Amino acid sequence: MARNLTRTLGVLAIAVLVVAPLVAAAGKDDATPVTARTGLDAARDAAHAWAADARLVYLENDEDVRPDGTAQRWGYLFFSASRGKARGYSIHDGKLDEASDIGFDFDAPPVSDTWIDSGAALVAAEKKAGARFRTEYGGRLTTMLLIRGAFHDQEPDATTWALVYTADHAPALFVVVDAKSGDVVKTWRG
Amino acid sequence: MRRATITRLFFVLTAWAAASAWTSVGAAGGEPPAAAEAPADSVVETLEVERDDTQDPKHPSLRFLKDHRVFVRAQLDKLRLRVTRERTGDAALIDERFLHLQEMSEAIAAARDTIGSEQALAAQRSLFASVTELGTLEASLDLMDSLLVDQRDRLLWLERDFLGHQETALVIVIRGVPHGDVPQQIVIREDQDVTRVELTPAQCASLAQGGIAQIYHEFVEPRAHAIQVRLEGGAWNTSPASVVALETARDRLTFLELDLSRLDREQAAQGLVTRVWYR
Repeated sequence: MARNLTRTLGVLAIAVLVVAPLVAAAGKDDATPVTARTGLDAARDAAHAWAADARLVYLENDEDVRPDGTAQRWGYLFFSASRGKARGYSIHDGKLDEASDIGFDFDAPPVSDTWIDSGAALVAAEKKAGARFRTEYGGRLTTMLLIRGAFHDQEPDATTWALVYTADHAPALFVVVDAKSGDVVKTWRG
Repeated sequence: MRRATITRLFFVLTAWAAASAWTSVGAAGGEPPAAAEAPADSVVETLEVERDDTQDPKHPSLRFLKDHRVFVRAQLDKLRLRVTRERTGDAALIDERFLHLQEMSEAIAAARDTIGSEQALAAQRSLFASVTELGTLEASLDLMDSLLVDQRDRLLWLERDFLGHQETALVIVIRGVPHGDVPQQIVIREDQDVTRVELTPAQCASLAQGGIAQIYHEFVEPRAHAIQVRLEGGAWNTSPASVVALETARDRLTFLELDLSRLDREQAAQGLVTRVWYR
């Protein structure tokens, strides 16, 4: 009886040792992390196939942002005036991985043609307040988003990066970076 | 044989030159000729209310926006768009390819003159007076050869230029007709986009004899697609749709061939033979 139990446990242990690495490898994402601008062409091509007048109105990291401002997946949102709706494209490893309608009204203004990439925006935010927040509260950067008008009251025409840092026991930190100049224009906690 | 080839090549290039000349006139400000009749294709938009059964995506995307859409929406609602249009009189650079097309047009016209004069000379020669005249004929044929080479270079340039600008597009062609009941329509559907193509008896007869018909050619997103194909008309109205899964390649032309010849009305979902290729 005891021998059978030992044998069963042994087989189970071997199975776990063999299968676990395979399962881990299957779930591993080998895609090279890239900056937000890197996937823009692929997203724009897809959006223009959907609607010729589609304009980029918003983008956001779909996977965790790394310390150099790169991520394995970015989400791009385009709005078409002719279709009257917005459609999102998730770009992974240089390819369109997911395309879906946003499901709610989002007729946001198009972002400007020139904007600093996610790496430069992250450097500015970290220098101003992000690094201190992470150190003091054990926080982390959860979201980087690019939008025009929504986060900069004084310059509503400006396209801005908004970086959202969160911590378990402290209010989140928002850092808004002017996407043209690279200057931090606003921070707040909430 | 050689003359026939030259004549055929010139016919193709002359047709192209005429088309490009018409385009130039249009681009220069002239009005394009009025269409003789309304295009056969038409788009009918219908409005229908249904429950939102959007499936969850494989990977969550734009999470912050979806989680905080009320806040972001409220920020956007404070904005007002002001559109200013400013026209400037600066000269714009012409794409050098257009200039090259003009040069090619002139070269084609010059080559056509040369061919014409050579043909006239050939018509006058009923009998060769001496071996020396055979040498003249040889020189004339060499000239034709060099003109052919020039034309081939132009065609290659045009092909390279065309292929270099390919955008992601899907072309669907059909071949064959099912046994038994002949369908009257074929319906292509993906999400909310529906394309309905009539199949006339003449077209069905042509398909039955091995013909191929193009039923769809549109720009598409470079992604995995699930396209529903359904035949309609008579007994086909009750048959289920077939779903064709394919992936369109970015900046390439994806061809999908639907072979209807093995379709069975009772088991339409299984009998559709498909083939996909890229260009």
